[in-house]
Amino acid sequence: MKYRILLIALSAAAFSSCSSVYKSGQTPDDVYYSPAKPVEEERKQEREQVYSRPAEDRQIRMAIYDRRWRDFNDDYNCNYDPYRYGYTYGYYYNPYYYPSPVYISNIKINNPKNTTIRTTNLGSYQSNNMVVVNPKTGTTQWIRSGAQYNNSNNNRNNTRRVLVPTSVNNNSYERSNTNDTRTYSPSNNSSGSSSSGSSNSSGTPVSRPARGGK
Amino acid sequence: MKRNILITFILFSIQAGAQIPEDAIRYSWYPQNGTARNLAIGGVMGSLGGDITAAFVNPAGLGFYKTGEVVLSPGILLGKNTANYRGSLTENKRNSFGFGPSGWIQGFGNKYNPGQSYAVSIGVSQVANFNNNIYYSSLNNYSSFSEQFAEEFAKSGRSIDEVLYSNSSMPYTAAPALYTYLIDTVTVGSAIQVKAAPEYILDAGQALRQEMRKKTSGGIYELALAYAQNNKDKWLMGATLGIPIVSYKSNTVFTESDTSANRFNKFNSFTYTDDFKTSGAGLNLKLGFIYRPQEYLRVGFAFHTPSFMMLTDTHTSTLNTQTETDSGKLANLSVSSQTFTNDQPGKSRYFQSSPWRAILSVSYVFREVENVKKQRAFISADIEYVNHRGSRFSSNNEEPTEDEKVYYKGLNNVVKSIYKGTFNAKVGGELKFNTIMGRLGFAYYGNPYKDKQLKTNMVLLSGGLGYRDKGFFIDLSYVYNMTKDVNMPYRLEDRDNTFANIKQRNGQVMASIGWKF
Repeated sequence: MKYRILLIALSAAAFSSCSSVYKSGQTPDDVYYSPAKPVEEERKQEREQVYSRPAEDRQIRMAIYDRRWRDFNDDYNCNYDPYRYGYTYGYYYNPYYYPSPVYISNIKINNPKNTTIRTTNLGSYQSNNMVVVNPKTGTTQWIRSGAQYNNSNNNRNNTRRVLVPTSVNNNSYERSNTNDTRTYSPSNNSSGSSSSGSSNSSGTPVSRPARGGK
Repeated sequence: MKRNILITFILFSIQAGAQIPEDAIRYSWYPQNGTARNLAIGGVMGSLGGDITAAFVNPAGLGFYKTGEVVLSPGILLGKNTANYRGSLTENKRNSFGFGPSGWIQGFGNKYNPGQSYAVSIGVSQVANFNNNIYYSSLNNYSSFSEQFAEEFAKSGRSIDEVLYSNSSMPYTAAPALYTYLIDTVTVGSAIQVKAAPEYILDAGQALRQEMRKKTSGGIYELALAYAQNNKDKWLMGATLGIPIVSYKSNTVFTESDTSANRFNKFNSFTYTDDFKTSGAGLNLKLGFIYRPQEYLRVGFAFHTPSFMMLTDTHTSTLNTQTETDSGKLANLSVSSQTFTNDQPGKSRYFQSSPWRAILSVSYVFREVENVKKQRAFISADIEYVNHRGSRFSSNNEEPTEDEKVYYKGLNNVVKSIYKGTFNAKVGGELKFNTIMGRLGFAYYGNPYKDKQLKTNMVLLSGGLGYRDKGFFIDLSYVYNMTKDVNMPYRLEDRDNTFANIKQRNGQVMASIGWKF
C-alpha cells in the first residue's frame, strides 16, 4: 500500500517537473478544443542516412550467438566441415547426424495433472422438470415443476424426490435387505478399473474410510 | 425437437467437468471504468473524446488530441452488500484499491496535410474489479447444498469405485462427498437410492442452517495500444488493440448444520471450502468513428470484438463432514480434493471469448473554441448493447477428450439459453468555469439474465469536480453504485432452486492527475 502511494507521488513529482509547455498561458482542454502545434520547419540538413555497416561487424555480431560463424573464417581449422559439423555432439547439434528423427519413447508420466475443473450439472440450468416418486407404488414420473425457485421456508407441500443411480456398474454396491441401510463395499482394484470405462486409467483407487470416522 | 436434443445433450454432458456458466457473466457484466472525469459524467465516451478513457471505449475520441498528455487514475472502492436469503437479511463490507485508465497520449499534426492529425496512446486500466464479499445465512427446510453432489453422482452413470479415484472425474464435488459419507447409496426396500445425509433432516420436516461466505478478488486489467486519425475535425477514426489480463480468486465456505438436538438423525454438519483461481490473458480489438455533422455536435459509433482469452483455472476444495452414527456418536471425516487430483491442485486450461459490444453515442459541446475561458459545457449520452449470451468456451488441452468436447458444447448452449443481450444507457455532462469544472452523470446497466425471476441491474449516480491550469489537471469523482444481483449457492436439476437477492451499495472514489505537454 505504502509503495503504491510512494510510486504515485514520485510519478507526480517527475511529471510535474517535465511539464513546462503550458505552465504559462492557458492549458488546453482536449474535450473542447485541442490546439495544433505548429508544424516544425523542414530541417535543412534532413537527408537520408545510409546505414552502411562493415561486413566484419555483422560477422562479429553473429559469432556471438552462433559458434559456426566463429569457425567460418578460421583458415587454420582444417577439420571444419559444414556437412559434418557437430558430428561429435550427436543429433541435437547436427541434423545430418541421424538419418531419421529421434523419438523418445517409453516415457511414463507418473503424476499427471487432473484437468477436471468445477464439474457442474448443466441440466440444473435448464430444468423445469421434476422427478416425483409415488411412495405407495414406488413408480417415478417426470412432471413440470410449478415454480422454478423456492425462496421461502413456508413450504406446505414439500414432496421429497428420490435419486436413483444410473450406475453402469451395480456390482460396486452391496445391497442390503434391511430398510434404508447404507452399506457399501469397495470392489477390488482390478474389477473396479476394468469395468469403469471412464477416464480414470491414469489414477489409482482411493479407499473410503470406515463410516465411524477417524 | 431441438429442445429434446439439447436436454439429452446436457444430461449426457454432466459426466465431464470444465467451466461453469457463471464464468461467462463475470467477464461481461460490470460497470465501465474510466478516469475521474469520465466516471463523474456517467462513463459517457462513445462520441465525446478528448480523454484517455476513449482508448477503452471509442478510440476515435483520441483523434481530438493534438497535444500530449500523461494521466494517472488511482481509486478506491468502498463496498457494502446486503443479502436476503430465504427471508434472512445479512450485511457485509469490503473495501479495495483499484485504478482507472492511466497512460500516455500524444497528438501529432501532419505537415503535408494541415487538416489532418493523428494520435497514439498507450494506456492501462482495471476494466473490472472483482473484489467483493458475500455473506448470507438462513434456515432452509426445502433443499440441501449436498443434494447437488447426490444428483451429480446419481446421474453420472458411474459407480462409487469409479468416482473414488486418485484422478477422479468429480474431484471437487461427488468424490469428497462420497468419501466423507455426506452422500451415499442406500437400499430402500429393494431399490438402491443415492441420498445426501442432510436429506434425513429435510425428510423429517425440519430445517437446516445454511451459511455462505464468498470472498472474491482480482480483476481484468487491460493494456490498450490505440491509434486515431482526425480528418479536418469532421471524421475521426480509431482502433485499439487491447490485451486483457485476467486475475480472479475466490474463496467460498459453505456450512450446513442440523438445527435439532437429535443425535440420531444421521447428520450433524458439513463445511465445504472451495479455493479457485483463474489467470490468463487475451486479445481484443476496439474500432470506432466519430462524425461531426456540424460544429458542437458529435455522433459516435464503436464496436468491441470479443476478448479472446487463454485462461487457466487452479482449483482445490476441502470437505469436512460430521455425521451421526446409529449409536448417536459424531463421526468426523475430512478430505481434500487433492486426494482425487493426484495430490496436487487441479488445473484446467481453456479458451474463453467474452461477448461483443456496440456503442452508439451523441454529444453536444458548447463552445468548441481555443480560449478556455469561453468553453462552457458539454452533455453526452451513450447507448450500449452487450451480447451477454455470446460468451464461448473451448478446451485448450492438447488432446481434448470426447467428454470434454461435449461438455463445452453443452456449456455454450447453456450460456446462450440463460443469458441475453442487454442495453446499457449512460448520460452525463459538465459545466466549465474557466479552470474549475463541475460534473454529473447517470448510468444504467440492464439485466443479463433471460429468466425474468432473476431481477438484476445496476444504477450508477455520479458527480465530480475538476481543476485544469498551468499544464496540470486534477479531477475527483464519486460514483454511487446500486446493484441488484442474485447469488445461487447451488443448483439442482430436479428441484426448485433457491437464491439470495444481493443489494450492493458501492461507493467509488477516483482521482485523476494529469500533465499536458
